[in-house]
Amino acid sequence: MTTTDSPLLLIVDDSKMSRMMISRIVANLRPDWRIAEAANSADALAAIEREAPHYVSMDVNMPGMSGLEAAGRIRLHNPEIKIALCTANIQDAVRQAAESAGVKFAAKPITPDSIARMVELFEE
Amino acid sequence: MAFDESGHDEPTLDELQLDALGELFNLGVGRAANSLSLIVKDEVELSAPSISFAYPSQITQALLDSEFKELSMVAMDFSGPFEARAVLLFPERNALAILSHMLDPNMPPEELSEFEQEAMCEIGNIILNACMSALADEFGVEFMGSLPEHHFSDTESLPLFGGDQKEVLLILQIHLSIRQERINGHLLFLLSVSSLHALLTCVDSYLTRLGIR
Repeated sequence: MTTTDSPLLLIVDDSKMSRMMISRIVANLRPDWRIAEAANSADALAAIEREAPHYVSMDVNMPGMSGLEAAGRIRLHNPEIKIALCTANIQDAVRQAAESAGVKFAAKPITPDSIARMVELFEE
Repeated sequence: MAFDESGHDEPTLDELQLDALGELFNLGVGRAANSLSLIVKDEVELSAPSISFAYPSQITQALLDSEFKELSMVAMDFSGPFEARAVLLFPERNALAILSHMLDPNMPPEELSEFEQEAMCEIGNIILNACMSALADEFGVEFMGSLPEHHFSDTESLPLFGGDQKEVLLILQIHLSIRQERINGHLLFLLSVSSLHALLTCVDSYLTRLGIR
């Protein structure tokens, strides 16, 4: 049962398939969480202005603004939001840039294990 | 999809199949970026935007601006549940720019070009294998890959695409950036019509297994 007090997770991914997979796994792990979706960075930033989520799962490779840049902007205005970048591209340089901005990493492919790990990162 | 010639069976992919294929290739390209960054010891940005299809005879129009006449390409043949010739293709001067980052940014172009075939094979090996292994892992299947072969070509004569009208090209434009330098290339997968159907069967079982359809 979710209420407006329940934690809100915003899933940002240009792939509908990926959003569905993440949403399904999270709903299973944390049935009380509310889940919102955005298909690109601009929509995500607009959604955050309307209601700031507790957590953001952010794809990196998206048309338009990259997830990395969007994550930086979110951290600037809403430092309390916990963000995990969801990507197969975990290079040291990217990881360091993200970690210095206070952003976590969750490895793609999306699996129950990788999403469980992301949920743990959010709740740390 | 860009199919305007008459007499072809148009492969029709629905939104979810295209989405799934795009994500799987992005996964592969993401892994490849990670490997390439270890080689160039710097951040590599590598992204694969949307998928399109063309017939081999349409490749010149479908792919290449007239400004890019000289091409450097690496091909590998993969066999498994379906067969595909995978080709990584860069405009020649972009290929040299990548090599300069891999080897030594101060090396003069004429020396660089000595290493071009070997180094392009290595890059092709990384990117093409990463894409095919992402498909293999997610589909739960196995592909055998041939050794990479390097070819120089121009847009007028692409010997790898014999113009067999029964084959279809799946095209991904890729953007690669190393140290602020932006390089555009293409990933091509040449599939027979029956292989394309086998690929789509894999995609459908994958989506079914995930409970998405």
